[in-house]
Amino acid sequence: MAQLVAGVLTEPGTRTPAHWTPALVTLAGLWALRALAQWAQNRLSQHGATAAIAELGSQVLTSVTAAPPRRQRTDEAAILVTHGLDGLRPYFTRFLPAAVQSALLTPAAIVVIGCYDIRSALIVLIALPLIPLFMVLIGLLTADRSAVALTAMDTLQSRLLDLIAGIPTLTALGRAEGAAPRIAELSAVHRRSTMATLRITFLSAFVLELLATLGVALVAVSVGLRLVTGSVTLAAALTALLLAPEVFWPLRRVGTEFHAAQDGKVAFGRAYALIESLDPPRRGGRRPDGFVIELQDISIHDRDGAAPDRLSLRAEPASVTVLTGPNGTGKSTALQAIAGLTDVDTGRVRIGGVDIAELDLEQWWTHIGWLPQRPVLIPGTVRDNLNLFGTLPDVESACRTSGFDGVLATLPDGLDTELGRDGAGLSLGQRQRLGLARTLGRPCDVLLLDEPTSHLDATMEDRVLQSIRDRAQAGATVLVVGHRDAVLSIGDRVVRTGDVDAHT
Amino acid sequence: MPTPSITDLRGIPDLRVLDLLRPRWPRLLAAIALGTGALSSALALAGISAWLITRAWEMPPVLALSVAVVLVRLFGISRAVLGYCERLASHDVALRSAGNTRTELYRRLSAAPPSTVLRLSSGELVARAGASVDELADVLARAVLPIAVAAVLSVSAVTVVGVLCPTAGAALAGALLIAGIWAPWQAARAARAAEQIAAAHHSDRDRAVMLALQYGPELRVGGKLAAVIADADREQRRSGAAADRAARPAAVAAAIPVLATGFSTLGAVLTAITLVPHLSPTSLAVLMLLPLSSFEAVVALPAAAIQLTRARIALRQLTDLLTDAPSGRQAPAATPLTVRAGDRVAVLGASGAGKTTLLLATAEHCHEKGITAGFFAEDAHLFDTTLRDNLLVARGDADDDELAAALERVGLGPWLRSLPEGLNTMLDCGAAAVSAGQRRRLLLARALLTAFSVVLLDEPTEHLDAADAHRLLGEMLTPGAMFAADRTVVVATHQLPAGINCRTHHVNSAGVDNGYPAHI
Repeated sequence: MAQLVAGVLTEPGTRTPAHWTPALVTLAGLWALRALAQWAQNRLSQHGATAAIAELGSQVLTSVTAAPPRRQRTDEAAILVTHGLDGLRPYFTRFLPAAVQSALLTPAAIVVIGCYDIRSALIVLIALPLIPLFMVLIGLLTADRSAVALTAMDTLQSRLLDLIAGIPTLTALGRAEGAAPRIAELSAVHRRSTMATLRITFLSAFVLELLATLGVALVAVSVGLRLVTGSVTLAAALTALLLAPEVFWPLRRVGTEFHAAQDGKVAFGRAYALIESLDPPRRGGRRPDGFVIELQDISIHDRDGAAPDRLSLRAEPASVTVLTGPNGTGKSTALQAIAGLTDVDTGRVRIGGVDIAELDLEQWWTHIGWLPQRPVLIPGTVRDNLNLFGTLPDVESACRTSGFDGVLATLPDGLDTELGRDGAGLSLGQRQRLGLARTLGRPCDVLLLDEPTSHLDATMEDRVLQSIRDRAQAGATVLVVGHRDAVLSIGDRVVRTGDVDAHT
Repeated sequence: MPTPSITDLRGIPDLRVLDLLRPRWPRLLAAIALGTGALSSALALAGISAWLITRAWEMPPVLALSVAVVLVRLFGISRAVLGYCERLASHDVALRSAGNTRTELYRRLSAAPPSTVLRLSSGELVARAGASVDELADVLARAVLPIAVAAVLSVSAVTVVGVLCPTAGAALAGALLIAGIWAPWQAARAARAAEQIAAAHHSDRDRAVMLALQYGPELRVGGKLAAVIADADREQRRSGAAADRAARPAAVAAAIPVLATGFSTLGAVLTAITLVPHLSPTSLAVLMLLPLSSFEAVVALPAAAIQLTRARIALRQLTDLLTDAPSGRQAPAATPLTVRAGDRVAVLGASGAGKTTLLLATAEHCHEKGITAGFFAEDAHLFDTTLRDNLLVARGDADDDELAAALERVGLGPWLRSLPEGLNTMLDCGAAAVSAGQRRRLLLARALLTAFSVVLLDEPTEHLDAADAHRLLGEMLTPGAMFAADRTVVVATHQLPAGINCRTHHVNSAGVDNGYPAHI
């Protein structure tokens, strides 16, 4: 290009298209190649980013769900997988290519300038190291502030979501109006702190641009003044002028994609924190010898102390054991320990005489029917939900024993009614009955039922408790968590957690 | 419930943004002026450098170059300075608009029917509200600003080149139009379709992710966790594939400016060679070299167009969030209870029989008659803040002693005393920080603190142990024991323990359920 322009300027006699055809064709070819390369780079980095994000998302999900229920950082993981990991895309599609280009193109451009005009190359070489130097200095200065700003952003976001989730509650209390100024206030605080950070953060972009444009300007002035004395050719001068921006251009792109790099780093950091903080799952290979469940003095600690605290019980096949006690004394946690989801801090859990640590958990789970307080509902039909953990041998009797038949009768399409996500369309009580039908309908050797009748009225409760008794009589080991007298009355054995008088 | 604030969202799509963003126009214009100044400096630097070098080659006295030398250095500096100011100004505008949008979103949501908000799972809220607000606010800094700057700059570049040679000016104008309008338009049009696919996949993906995260333990024991995670992974990859398709035109759009720059440069060189032998060498140099630098502003336009599209999608999602009322939402069908001051009523009935509906209808009825009535839902929200603030939502002017007394009344006294930080204890993640029973009691303490003359409590003793539930129900339903004797208390429960004497009301209508339709 420079040769061409210089030629056109210096030798007016050559100003015919024919004379310059080879140069023009070469130039056109190079431009086309550049456009093609740009396109290919864009596509490839996009695909790479997609694959990496999907892989990381799966790993986070697998690790988090494998942790003990109490230690699952589900909210954090939800934000990360649904939102945070997308922050990696700009990192892969924009920052990485820019970084690689600056590593390759910048030295190449300097070498070419040096071939034509060594002084211009020197100017560029002096300006260039100043850029990383200033960037590092400014980076060190802003690192703390950026971290604070990021935290503030997160806080603001979660506050806003918390307030939105609380709208029905605030409306009921007549205080929904009061929170709007609070959000405006939070936003203003966030804006001020962010702007304070940006004033310094943008200094790095400023230095980068200043050195880049000033570098080009100095090269132009330098070659211009030497042209006057005739110590440099016009072609060399133009080459230096045209290539000088190319030295700085990739670096400037790295600078503008700095945020992409930061976001990417943060997202990577969070993902690895979630993956690494979790222990690898245990592997035991033994099978239980029968289904006697024994808890010996088990304690599981959390921040409020131990819950359960030195709990012992023995649940035998063909009997109902009821676990009762005040709230917060670890009844649900005890069930999780029996299922092998939560490790005990002290004491032992034995299933059929085998310590749970040595058990093949997946094999053990096939024997368990576990009904948590809030049973899972998947988007799909009622039938899909009933058969979620295995096809029920007799759907009709399962629905009858759990009282779900009454609910079915009110649903427009019976078993084929589509349920919205997260059980929309069923009340808590109806949902509990669906969970009961699903749990009682399967021939499990062990039933772990967490407050199975908490949302039911007395008639329904009697019917369900009778079905639970029947299952025990048929040989199952049944462990029920419950409060009410009716539930306590079906227990062959009643075990109390905690000190009953603690709350009264 | 009338929702006039929502209907005003329906209108011309592009102008609805302004209602939410409420940008500060002077600031935005200042940012545009600064951006234009910064890129004009770059353009001037390129043009004057070309002139300087060619003029120098003619070997004039050095003094003849001094003005150009000074200008080159000046523009070398002003570009960076103006760029810095522009960034600050545009980010300030964007942050202010994001704040306005958040406030406005909240204001409109709080005026919407509770069912609109209730039905959203937390993951969806995160995805929708958070991301959409950010996307929307970005529209100013990333779309409006670059478009305005590119328009001003393109016109100046075409004018300069056109004065030197109209043909080359026309070629440059054509290339700028292709790179600045056709490429972004193509990119945005294709991106719109693909982003919609991606948005749809995202909600499928989020649903699968939330299923695995919320019900992980049960799914794991049931042997379904691996399948649900595989499902989430499949949705993730599918949404990734859709995102890849969305990016395809963006890659083309990124390549087009490069082609256009090449085209206009070659065009300028060709015109210089063939058409304008009479021009001075300095003008020729400017003519040939200026097109190289004229595309800097235009290169940003495909991204700006995609940002515009994203903002439009984000706006639609926010609008959907606000208007997502379930189809055929039934007004509470029950006949409201008639209550007198100081009444104690227990509403009894099977689960799903319509106790909640009756309570809601009663609350509505009281409001119509000008009586203050508060409905306390079974699953009310605990905020991710201190214990104190969670109680103060009930009544802002209550002092610590009143709060402690209320907690004592509901049986949380020992718990409060066991907390090292007392009322300052943070309830991290809201409801997750306390057990189900503690949560019930906290909500009950809130009801105690309010000044409503009619208090409607939905299943207030669920998940409590039998003795406590009995005791609390008794206190609630005995005038003066928990609530002052002149306040009216209505409690919906499915079991009323023996020994509590109060007015009872039985609900038996099957099929009516919680005020929500049986299926959505």
